[in-house]
Amino acid sequence: MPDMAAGIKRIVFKEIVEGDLRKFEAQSNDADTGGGARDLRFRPFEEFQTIFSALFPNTRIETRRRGGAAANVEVLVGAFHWLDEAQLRQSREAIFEPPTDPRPGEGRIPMVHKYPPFNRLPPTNEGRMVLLLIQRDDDTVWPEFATENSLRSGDWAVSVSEPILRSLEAQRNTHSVARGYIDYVTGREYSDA
Amino acid sequence: MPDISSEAREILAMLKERHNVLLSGPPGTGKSRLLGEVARAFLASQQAGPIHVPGAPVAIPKAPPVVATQVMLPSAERTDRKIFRTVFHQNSKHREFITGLVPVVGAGAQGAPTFRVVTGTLYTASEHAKTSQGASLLIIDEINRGPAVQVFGGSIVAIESDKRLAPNGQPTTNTQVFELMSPANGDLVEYSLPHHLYILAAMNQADTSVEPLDVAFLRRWMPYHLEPNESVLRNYFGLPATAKGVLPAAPASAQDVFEAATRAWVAINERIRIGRGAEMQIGHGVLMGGAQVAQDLPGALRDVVDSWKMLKAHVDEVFFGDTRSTAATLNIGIIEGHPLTLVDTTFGDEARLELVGSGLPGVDSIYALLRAIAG
Repeated sequence: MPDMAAGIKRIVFKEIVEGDLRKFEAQSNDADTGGGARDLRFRPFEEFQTIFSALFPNTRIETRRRGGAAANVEVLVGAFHWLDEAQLRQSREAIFEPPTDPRPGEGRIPMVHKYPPFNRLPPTNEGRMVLLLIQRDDDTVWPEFATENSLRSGDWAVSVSEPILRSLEAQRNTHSVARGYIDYVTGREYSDA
Repeated sequence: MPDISSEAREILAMLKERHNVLLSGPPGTGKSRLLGEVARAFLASQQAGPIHVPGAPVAIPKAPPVVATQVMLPSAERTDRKIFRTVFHQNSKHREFITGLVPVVGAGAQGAPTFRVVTGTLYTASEHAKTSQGASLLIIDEINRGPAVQVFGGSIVAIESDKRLAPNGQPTTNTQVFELMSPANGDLVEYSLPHHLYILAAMNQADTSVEPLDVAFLRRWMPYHLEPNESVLRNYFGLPATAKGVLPAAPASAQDVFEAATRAWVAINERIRIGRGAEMQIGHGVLMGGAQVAQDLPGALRDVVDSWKMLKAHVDEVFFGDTRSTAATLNIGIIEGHPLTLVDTTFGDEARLELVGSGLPGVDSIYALLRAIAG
């Protein structure tokens, strides 16, 4: 579909691990806390809220339980876009929510199993897997995947592969995954490492 | 070069062969988008930004996916590439396009007024294209909104592809010269336009406040016409490739609303084409106002209410003062239950027609109106 190609404003990236894959398949999560199932989480919240404000430009008040009681929280509202099997463009609303009580400091995209592109996973034998949320020149946001081997192959644009590979290669504790963003409009890059 | 649309590729190829391309089409058919896309592609060798190719194995490839596009790039071997832009208007002047004199108040001896030679957009673009690595794309928007023939003046013959200087900057037996005022000293000098200067102009034939372009002017341009395109809309809204079935009496989803809006837009354009001519139709862009397509029913209804205001304003303009044609275009009186009706009334002793219920519809009534217009 070459006519659909477009320039890129921003990319949010996150390494995808086994627990995330089960969320994409709507098989809950690994935690026994009960919260956060099928949510894709981004820490630290304040850092990612900044970039998600650009990806999901609208806001809405939603009712959530906080401190054991109903509370109004402001969520960021946008949409994910993708091409279906007939190469027709599809989209669905997506939101970015502030932290929950059990997981302070984490912003999250809930119900990721609802979005077909999250089920189009790359081969699992090509190294670590990275989710890309790509905001194009027309401000639409498209989920895509990359693998570590593919990023190292030289086939990807260097301005994309280098920051992501730097993040993948950084030292971090075993409970943390590579995550960050690249803002081509402001020139700002962020990685957890 | 980034991957680009087939339309932009065609225009680049035409620019490369013919140097001057005139883009035309009804409002909302994507002329401005295409001008921008061609400009970005022309600068391709200077662009380093990544390109997203949806669904590709490598979503953001290092190399352009369509290498063959490079073949279409005008003056591809030149590295110092620039875009020059201008918009013609009723007060556009030859001196603002080529060269000419302008008064300078108080700059002469003892504060007396004097004059200086200014250089215009075509001259500046031409001079850049004459540098060793220079290539210029001059974009003229709304070319028929100003006195184009006067603005081009003597350069009009010299813009023709076979009347330019050779690629190496030397004159050929066909090179056309015209006189302009030298920016150096104000003398009239002979001047020719370079090979590496390309001109892309756009115009809207349907506007009422435009200047006619004569045949002698038009034949120096390679025409490229854009039409209202239903498939662009269907792809944008994620609708089936063709209209299928009957619209439901009430919308159950955002898709129902966008399907009704698309069918109503198609029907209106078809009636305008018959009633006033194809050039008076309105493009698909009229329904593509938002940055993102609404996913929920209330959001979709709000979006089409906004689009309807522009669509209705266009119909009113096209059939200004002709209430019966407006009614026919909106399918009034053809089907039962139409929210609008055409009634006979009088003004003084004269018979008049009036559209009743033609106030701007809201989210509660827009779907029924679109469904009735679609027929």
